[in-house]
Amino acid sequence: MHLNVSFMLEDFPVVLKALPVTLGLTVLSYAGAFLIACLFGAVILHKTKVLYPLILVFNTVVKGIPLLIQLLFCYYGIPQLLKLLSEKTDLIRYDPKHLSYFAFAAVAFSINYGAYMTDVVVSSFKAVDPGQREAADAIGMTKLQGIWYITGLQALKISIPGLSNYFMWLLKATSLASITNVFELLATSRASTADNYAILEGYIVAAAIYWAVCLIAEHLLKKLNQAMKQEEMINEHGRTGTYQKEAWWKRNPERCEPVR
Amino acid sequence: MSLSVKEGEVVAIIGPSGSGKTTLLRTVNFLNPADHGTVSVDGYKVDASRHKHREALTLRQKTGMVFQGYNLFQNRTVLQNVTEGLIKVKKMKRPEAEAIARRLLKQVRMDEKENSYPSQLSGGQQQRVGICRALAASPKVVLLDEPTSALDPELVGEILEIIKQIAETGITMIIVTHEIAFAREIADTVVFMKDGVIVEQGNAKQILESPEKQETKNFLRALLPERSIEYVI
Repeated sequence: MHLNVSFMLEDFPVVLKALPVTLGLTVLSYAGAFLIACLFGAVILHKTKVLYPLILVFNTVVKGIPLLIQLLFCYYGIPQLLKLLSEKTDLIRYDPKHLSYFAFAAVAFSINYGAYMTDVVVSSFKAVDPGQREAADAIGMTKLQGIWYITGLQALKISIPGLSNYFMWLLKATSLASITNVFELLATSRASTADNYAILEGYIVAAAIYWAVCLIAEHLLKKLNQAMKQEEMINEHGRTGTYQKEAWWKRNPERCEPVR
Repeated sequence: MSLSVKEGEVVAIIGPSGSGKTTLLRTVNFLNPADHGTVSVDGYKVDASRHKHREALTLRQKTGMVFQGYNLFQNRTVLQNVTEGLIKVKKMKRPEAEAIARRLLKQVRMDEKENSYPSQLSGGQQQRVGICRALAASPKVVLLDEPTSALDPELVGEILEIIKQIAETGITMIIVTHEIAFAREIADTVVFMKDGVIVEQGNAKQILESPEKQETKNFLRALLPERSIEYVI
């Protein structure tokens, strides 16, 4: 086996140029997924009539179909939907030459990850001590005020480890969008090898970039988790003042690490 | 059942576990809305069987509640716990609310801890803040749900002392308690409950020292040995 190392070095900056697309797709999809998770979570926790069973069914459907198929659904389905909309209404103009495959992929990722993250949102809210909501009620806060100022913030803190795991998964899952005409890292690396057929080299470059990005992302998320843990530790042990802040995750490093 | 409390009166609700003391207390501010009947505080009357959420909110603003498990807002400092209701519910300006909160915290000797978070405090300290939070909005009636039950024995005294001081300012109070000696000391009226009904209610001294109903006698007798310990040296 012979690896064309000089090509790999040459190829590296070319592929790296597609990194903003991967990161953009990740962040946009994640934001969409978080929004969906919050909306779905609110419906599930509130047990809203009609919507509640619909969302439960929708979530099982989304979780029961491979992400790749959902991507392809959006890739082929959304243009059809846009065409139909432009024919029936004046709201949009359908232009088959300028379709945003990036946006279609973002929709697919948002829905898929939104369904999974709904569970995190719901379980985090359920993990908040019910006494907190009661206390908010007792001082006369409305339900929304109670969620916004008291229970929501506490649920968010509980959900951070779970949500950061999904971020890591999503970051790598965006490579699937290379199938649906989005020129992110993987698609760009494959295209860059079209001239000399150094296909393996191209994939190695893409893999190296993914690895580096994941290391950085993981490090940042770990910092975030630790900051939360640290606050908790100080809170729990500040009373006695004898607790060493760092000891907990030095003893339990695996519990601070996002699972890959 | 019916319970009416006059302004400035201190009512202690006693009775065995599971007799519905806490539930009765929580129907007053609609944390556990009653199925039927009316709750009236300071002339504001709400029909429990067909109440609107807004009505319950108005009622809650007229009451303050101290919980058995303190239930301080974990993501707020001591000072913020007390000002939260004033700023968010009563729409008071922050400096004004903080002035009220600091005055209350000073009364319970928690003013030096105003920037601590609840989990940094001992149970007794948390309950003192809980009392301040309940008093902050100058409620018409303060509901205390077993305020000392979750505390270590050596901390019970300080909380009871604070509640006594507050009772002396003339505020209306309904206390669910197991501290019979304390009830005798501060309550004007004692209500004895069993199996969800009020068995006996009336003057504190009379109920606790010469109850008429057999259930009350049995309940108090069960607590008697504990009382006599005071005299053992």
